[in-house]
Amino acid sequence: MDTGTESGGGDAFAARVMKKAREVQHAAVQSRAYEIGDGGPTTLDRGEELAMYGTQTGKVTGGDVLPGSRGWKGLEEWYSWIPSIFEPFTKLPDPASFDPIISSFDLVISQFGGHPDDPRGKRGDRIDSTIWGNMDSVANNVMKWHGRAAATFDEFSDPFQYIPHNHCALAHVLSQSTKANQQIFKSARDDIFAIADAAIVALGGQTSSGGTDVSFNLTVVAAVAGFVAAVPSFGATLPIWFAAVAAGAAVGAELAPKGDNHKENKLTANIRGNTTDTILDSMVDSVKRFERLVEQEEDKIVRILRSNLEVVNSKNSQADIVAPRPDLANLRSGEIDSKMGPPLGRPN
Amino acid sequence: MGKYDKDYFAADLEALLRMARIKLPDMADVYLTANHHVSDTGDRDASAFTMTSRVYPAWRDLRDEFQRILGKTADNIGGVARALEMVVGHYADADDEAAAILEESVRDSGPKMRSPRYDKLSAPEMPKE
Repeated sequence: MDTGTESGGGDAFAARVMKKAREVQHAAVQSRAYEIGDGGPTTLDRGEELAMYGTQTGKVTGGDVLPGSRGWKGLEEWYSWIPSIFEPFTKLPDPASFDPIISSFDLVISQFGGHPDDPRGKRGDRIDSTIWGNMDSVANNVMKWHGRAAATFDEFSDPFQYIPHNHCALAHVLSQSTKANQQIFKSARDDIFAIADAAIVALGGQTSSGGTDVSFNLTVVAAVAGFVAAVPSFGATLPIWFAAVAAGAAVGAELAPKGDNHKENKLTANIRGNTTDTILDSMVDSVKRFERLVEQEEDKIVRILRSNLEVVNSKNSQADIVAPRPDLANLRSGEIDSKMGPPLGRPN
Repeated sequence: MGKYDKDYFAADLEALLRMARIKLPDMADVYLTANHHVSDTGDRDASAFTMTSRVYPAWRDLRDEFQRILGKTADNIGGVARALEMVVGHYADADDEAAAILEESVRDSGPKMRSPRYDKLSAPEMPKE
């Protein structure tokens, strides 16, 4: 069975999708030719009759349709719409193209002393020593001096006890959301082949009496579950961020898989029918359903990203994200004596 | 101001200079490097997200905001380094004796202490509009 995650970039994937789509078309032609040759219970559709025999009597019910015959070629034309159903999926992004972006965010986390798999560190010590340890030292030295620039410096320095953790958290949210989006396309690439393969099996196995029912898994529904579950809980363990992502956590709690419902994260779908056309109708329904599932998974990521942006931009959390520019940073040469005077009370 | 005071004053100036030339630029570097890594994603996103991606607009908005936050923080830290450099220069200019002690101390320090670094920090990259 083909899968979407075999090696190959966008063009190779697109070629494989279209090859598979033509296999579905061929299976449909074979199946319908068998039905007609078997003198099946239905008359030909007038359009189908026109494609096969150049007539529109509405009375043709059977007859052998052999490969290479005019009737066979007519069926190929009749089912030429099938590849177009799959064509949009040739444009599914290459999952590997997300890797450099994920690496960039992981490098950001490393810059702050975090680890991509454990961005806070067990106690966040390394993040503290990377930034806060240094900033605390600066504050201790600046605040020995007197004047407004020195006295208000702690308004700038103190937030560095927690804002680097929040910067790490933001990098983590962006990294994880990119991974989740990547996973959607990994799964989607597999799923579109699963639909096509199920259609081929169904078309090959259907009989005019009992029909056929082929089940397959749509894995795209599990693509985002890890992201939804991980990001809010990650946020909730941060010292300050937990308050800031309260809205995000609520979104996560709503979307996260619950208990036995984990099973719902691999959705079993079916292609069924007792004629070529009912099987193809079922396949088209599966493709449409699959498209909606992809959109639903993407929307879960969007909701969490929007929720986080809302938090970042809210007045309440601004101070948790960016330390206000200190007076000292705007100091002009004529103001030094008044705003940054030497330490008082040195020994004589 | 006696000799004892001069030593203390020079030590206070040296401490500020150490902040201006080592601690603050090191921190600014962390933020600038992080800012550049986030900026790099702007050059790579077009090959990952398709034009019709439902996720991309929200992802881009948060990414851009994060890039601004990192850049602004780097800029603020660099501003403090610049100011402390100016403060030390101001008081050293006004006190020859403290300046001499400071100069000797700087000479005996590592290379990072020998010249200002705030003006060598690269500019933060801001999101493309």
